[in-house]
Amino acid sequence: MIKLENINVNYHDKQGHILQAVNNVNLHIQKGEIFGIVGYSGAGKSTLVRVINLLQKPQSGKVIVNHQDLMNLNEKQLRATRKKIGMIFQHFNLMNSRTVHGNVLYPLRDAKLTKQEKEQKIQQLLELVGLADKRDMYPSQLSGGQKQRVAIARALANDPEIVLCDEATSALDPKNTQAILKLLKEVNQKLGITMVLITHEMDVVKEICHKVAVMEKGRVIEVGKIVDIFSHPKQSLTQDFIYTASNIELAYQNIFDHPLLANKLQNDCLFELHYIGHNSFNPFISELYRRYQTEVTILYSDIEIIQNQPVGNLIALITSESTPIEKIENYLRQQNISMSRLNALQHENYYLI
Amino acid sequence: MGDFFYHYFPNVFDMREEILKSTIDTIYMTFFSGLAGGFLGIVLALLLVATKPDGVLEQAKVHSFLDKFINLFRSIPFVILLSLLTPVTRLIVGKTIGLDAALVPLIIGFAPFFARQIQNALLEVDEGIVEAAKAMGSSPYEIFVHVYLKEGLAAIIRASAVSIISLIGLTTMAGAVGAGGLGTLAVKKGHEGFKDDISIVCTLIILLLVFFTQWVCNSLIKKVSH
Repeated sequence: MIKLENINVNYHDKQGHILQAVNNVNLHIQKGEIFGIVGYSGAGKSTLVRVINLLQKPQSGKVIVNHQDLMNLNEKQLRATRKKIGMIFQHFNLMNSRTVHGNVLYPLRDAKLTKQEKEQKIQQLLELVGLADKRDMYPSQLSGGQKQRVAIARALANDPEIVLCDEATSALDPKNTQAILKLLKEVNQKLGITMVLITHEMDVVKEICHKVAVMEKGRVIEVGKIVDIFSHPKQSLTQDFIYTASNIELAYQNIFDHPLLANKLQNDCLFELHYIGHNSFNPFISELYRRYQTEVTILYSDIEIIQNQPVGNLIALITSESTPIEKIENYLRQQNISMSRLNALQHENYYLI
Repeated sequence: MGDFFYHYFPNVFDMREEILKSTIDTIYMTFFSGLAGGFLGIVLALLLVATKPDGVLEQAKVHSFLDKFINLFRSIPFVILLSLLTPVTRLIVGKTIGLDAALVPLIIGFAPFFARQIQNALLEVDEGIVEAAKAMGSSPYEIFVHVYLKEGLAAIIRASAVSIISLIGLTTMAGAVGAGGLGTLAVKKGHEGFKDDISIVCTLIILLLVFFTQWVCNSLIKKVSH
């Protein structure tokens, strides 16, 4: 559906230095996919998403949407193509002088539909986003969540095959964020629209994306299926992002702050275990005791369902007197459970004890 | 009442027809130079906004030329512009004195000022909305009409109020080329003819015109902002 090949975007800053906003990026986004691009601000993700509809022209590279190289189109053809690529923004960007109805009508301005068909279309779209009763209101009379719903209806007006979301939930409160994500998921499933979603929140990615690319300093440093990324992140930045989306960080805080536990940590070893898939439900802890007389004390544990796959995290104290720890690690690896001993330097709190 | 009026405004009654004619002349000059200069100013402002860096029709050289051109004409005092433009006026109107002859310098003096005001009004339009319009496949023309002019309408009217009021001020100087109007009347008859009451009445009428402009513009702004 969308293929980006060797994309480079450079900016000149005021001193005349060249800044590489996007550095040799290759991405392949399949039809019907919700594809997330995460990164901290300044990573180049907003620039990259604008390359897809050529709001940002890359200095080099190929932008192929639907087997068509957009760089070869003239202005008029490009405008026609853009009508088939919806876009929603962090700050909604609705036209303030038009009502909800007027905003959704704008993209239909030269669609080949009769007036009646247009009205019908607008009505359907407003019902889809749950704003049929706000038809004649102006954007200034709506809440943030409602404005984004209007923006979604507007983006869908021309039956696009692709919708680009640029930090679509970053200006919303948690409740509205959830509601908008639900709506986007619904749109993806019902209408089969391919979505590219830019965000700095891993929670958003976890909620709805099928695949994710992690960006840093203009480069894509890691791409993969969401379950793989969450269970086996390769880059430390990806790891950072995943921590922000889980409760693990908080769990560590609690563990290290507790005096009793802190005492116990002097004798025993702290381990982090990760597992995915249906072996999450195997009783491996009792098995460990039966085989190796190893005692496992669970300090924190959770299982999340990401794209229908259970992904588990566990922090535990493991006391093993007769069996070397390597043996236990081996056994767990056979069960598809990865185990890592907590490095004292990795967590500053641990270091303090 | 009558006594009071005759005591303090002895000449106003005698010259009532001249006052009326001057008022009409002032309105005539303001209206037509406002119309023509307004059109020119909006075109200049749109060109400025379109050709700016990252604008919809980015053209750095055109932008910088227009910018300097407008600054140049805004810097020339109007009274001097009146005499500087005499040859141009003769070329266009065929004469250099009178009401229609005053229109040429008024338009040329007003357009750059108005362009600057409108440019500022258009820059208030959220660039995000412009970007959204581009993403929806809008042409540069559609962006001018549907985004800049429509979204910026309240700011445009506000800028117009300021500009029209300053244009009324400019018309009072047009007497220097024999154009007539309330400014000429106040200076030639009121001041130089020692008829202070005429000057006072001319001032009052101009104030009324200013207040009226302000009131119309405020009502319009109220109507178009949501």
